[in-house]
Amino acid sequence: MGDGGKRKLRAKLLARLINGKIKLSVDYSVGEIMKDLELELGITLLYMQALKAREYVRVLVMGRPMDQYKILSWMCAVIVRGNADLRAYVELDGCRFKRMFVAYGACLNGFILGSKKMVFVDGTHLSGPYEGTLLAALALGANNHIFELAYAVEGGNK
Amino acid sequence: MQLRGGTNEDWLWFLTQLHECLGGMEPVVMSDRGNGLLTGVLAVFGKENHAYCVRHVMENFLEQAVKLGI
Repeated sequence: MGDGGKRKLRAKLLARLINGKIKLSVDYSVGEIMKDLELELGITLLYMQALKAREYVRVLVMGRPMDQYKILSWMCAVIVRGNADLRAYVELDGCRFKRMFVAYGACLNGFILGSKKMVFVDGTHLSGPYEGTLLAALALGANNHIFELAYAVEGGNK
Repeated sequence: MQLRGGTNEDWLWFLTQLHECLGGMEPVVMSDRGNGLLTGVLAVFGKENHAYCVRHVMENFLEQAVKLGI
C-alpha cells in the first residue's frame, strides 16, 4: 500500500508539471513528456510513470471517459436540433451505452444527388479504456474523393 | 477481419439504419467479406448489390494460403 501511495503522489506531482502542456495539446505524447522533463528538469522517467501522469492530467482536463459517455444522448439531441436532415441517436442498454449512429444530412443528400452509387463499409476496433467497434460507410464523390456517409460506434464488452 | 461474436447483429443494425437514411436508393455495397457483412448485406441490400474488395479478398486468400503452406 505504501508503495502505491508514493506512486500516486508522484503521478500527481508530475501531473502538475505537465498540466499546462496537455491543456494546450491533447495529443502530447508520452515520449515527448519524457524528453521534455529530461531536458528541462533533468528528471528521467520510466515510460509507465509518464503514461500514468498523462492519464491523470487528461482526467483533470477532460473529465473521466465515463462521464463523456453520459453526455452523448444530449449531444445527439443538440446536433439533430441544429441540422434538419441529420440522423443521430444513442441506444442504451439499461444505463449502459450500447451503440450510436450518426449520419449527416448534407452527406446523405450529397450522396443521393451526386455520387457514384457505391457504398464502402468496414469496421475497426477502437482502443482506449472502453474499446468497442467503429463501423463506417463511405462513398466516392464525383471527383473520386472520399465522401463520408455515416458512422456508428458499438460499445465494447467492458 | 475477425470480429468478436455478436457483431453479425451489429452489422445488420448498422446497414438497416443506413438503408433507411438513403431513402429507397439501392447502392452497391463494397465490403471485405467479413462474416457479419456477408449476412448483413444479403439481408438488407440483397446479394446482387454486394461487391467484394479485391484487395481484402487477396489479403485473406494469401493469409489462408500461407497457413495451409501453399
